[in-house]
Amino acid sequence: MTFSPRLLRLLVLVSLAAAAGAFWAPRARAVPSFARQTGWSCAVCHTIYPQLTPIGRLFKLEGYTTANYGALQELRQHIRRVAPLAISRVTPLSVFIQASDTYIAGGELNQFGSGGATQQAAVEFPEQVSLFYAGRISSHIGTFYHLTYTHTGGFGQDDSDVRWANHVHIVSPDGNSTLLYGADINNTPTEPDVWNSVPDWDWPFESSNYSPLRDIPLTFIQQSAGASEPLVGLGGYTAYLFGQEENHWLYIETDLYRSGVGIGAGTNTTFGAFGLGPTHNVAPYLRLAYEENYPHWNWEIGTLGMDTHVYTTAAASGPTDRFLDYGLDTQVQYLTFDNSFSFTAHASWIREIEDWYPVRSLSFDPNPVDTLNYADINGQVLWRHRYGGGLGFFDVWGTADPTLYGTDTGNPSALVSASGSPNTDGLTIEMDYLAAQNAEFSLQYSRFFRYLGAANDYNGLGRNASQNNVVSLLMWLAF
Amino acid sequence: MRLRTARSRPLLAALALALPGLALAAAPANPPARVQASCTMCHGTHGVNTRMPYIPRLAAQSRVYLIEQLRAFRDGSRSDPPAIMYMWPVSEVLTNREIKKIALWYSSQKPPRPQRANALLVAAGHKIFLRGILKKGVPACMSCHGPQALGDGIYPRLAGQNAAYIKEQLRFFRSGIRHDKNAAIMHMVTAHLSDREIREVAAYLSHL
Repeated sequence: MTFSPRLLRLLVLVSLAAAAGAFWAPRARAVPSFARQTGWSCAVCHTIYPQLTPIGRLFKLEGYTTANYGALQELRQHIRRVAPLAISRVTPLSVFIQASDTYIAGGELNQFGSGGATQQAAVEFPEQVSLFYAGRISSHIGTFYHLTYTHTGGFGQDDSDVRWANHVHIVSPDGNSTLLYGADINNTPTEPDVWNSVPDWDWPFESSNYSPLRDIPLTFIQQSAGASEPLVGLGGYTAYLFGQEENHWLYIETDLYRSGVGIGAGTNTTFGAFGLGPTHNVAPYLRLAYEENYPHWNWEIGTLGMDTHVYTTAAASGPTDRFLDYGLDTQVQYLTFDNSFSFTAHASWIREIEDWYPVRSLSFDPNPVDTLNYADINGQVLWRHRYGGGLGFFDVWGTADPTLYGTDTGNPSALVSASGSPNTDGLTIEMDYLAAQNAEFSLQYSRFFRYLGAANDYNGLGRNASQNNVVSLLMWLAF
Repeated sequence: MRLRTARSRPLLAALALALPGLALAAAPANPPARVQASCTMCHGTHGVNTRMPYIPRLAAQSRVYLIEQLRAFRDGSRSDPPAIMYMWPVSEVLTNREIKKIALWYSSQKPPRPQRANALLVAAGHKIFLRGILKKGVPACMSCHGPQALGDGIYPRLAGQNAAYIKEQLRFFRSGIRHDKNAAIMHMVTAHLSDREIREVAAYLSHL
């Protein structure tokens, strides 16, 4: 979701900057159609959107098929008792509108994010509009299908999945337990996940298209959040709920990703609009997580990994670059019984080993191997479903490489590191007001202690990290 | 296949007539559609798998009690916070017929397994369950819920229930948040119970 100097480098090389913005749409994921289907308020499954509660996690693991209002709303027919039809009489459509107003300390230089040219205090209305088809399709099949209209004009595919899910009860020596299992097709690594400590669902949940937050160097798996890379994954998952109160959850997910056709904006034959080629074979993704639930508390610890080889050109032949990502994450959550107060904290670390193949014809000659690390820790509170806030720190560090982050890139001056370093760290603080469960207003401030390698004069042209500090007024409405 | 099925029906009918008690007690072969689509996510299809500590186990629960509670959720008379949040939306579209089907299904399932609990808490809870607390005027739980806490009629089965759920509900009774039918009785019972005593009773009942 955020521009990476590495990809910007390639972006510039192929002169597809205009098309790139469509891929970095901010995420929007609260879905009123689930509320229509279950009759539950948003607060049953979410704290601050899209942060999930344990009930929300179960709903997703069950394939979005739980339908408390099903009997009244479903059209049920059988043809010779063989071909069943049970579809909702109310189509599960939802709309999500986001707007923002952004002020950057050092001035809007038309260099940050994917917003394009504008003046200081950039207003986006809409920042994006998302359309969802989200809900139960049949007794075991459900979908979270997500199209987004972006500020650049036109719709693109956003993070989505279609899943089949089932469960079986197991009588174990320790009591009864449940095995939830499913298969899905999705377009974003970590989208099928049920914790908000993974890239597609992490905090801050919303940021402006003009925010310099979108330009910090990120790993491949992070950049693919929000269907920002044209990937398609086929996968399966199991969640084993065990222990005498089934309060121990073990989650395993595996997916195989490869370049997809029909993903939306950009080209179908290259790896997005960025000049990277398509995936070589498939990119395996593995996720393991463990959760424990208590009446008010739950906590999770997990690990993930993905190994992606992509061709260096659109030709889908010849040498490849390799991105090997792996990481750890944890989440702690406190909820009152009616969720009138909630606190959720996340911490994550992702390390990427980048094995580059130089493309002399494009003057692309990075180090043979680079590493990039991303770590963050953040927490959010929500009181009375109305007043919320969040605070988080992030740190990016890795191998200095002028080809990826330095003057060699030809990037705009604010996105160049004089030392070629990706090292960036800072904090984000946010205050939220929910006028209703489906209408949120936020004031968000991000402060950078270092930006691309230094606090002062990081680009060699006198720009300081603090000049990238940014304040945004954000709004979203869902209905 | 049709012929065999047709011929077997009189035999089944005869068995049902000859053993009316068994025929009435027989569990439905398959869960009602409403259980599958709605209840299962939290309570499990068979009511023994609750997936979260504070969600009650419904297996082998009194059918009458289940019907009464589902109606109390539906008419809004049971109004503790989780009831409002989770069960009001679920129950408001239930028909009487569906309520009866759901109650029959869960009441006819095999009881949940006993849960492990701290032995000291269990022993103390056992005393309260059998004798009450004379000094505080707390009556014995068994006087209504039965010596094995199996419940009957409007009195719910408590044996094997999740400890977290029992603790939560006893606190709701004590604070007066619950004021559905018969809640006044439980308010009087729990008014003088300490948090420690609630934990002891919950440990004992979940251990049964």
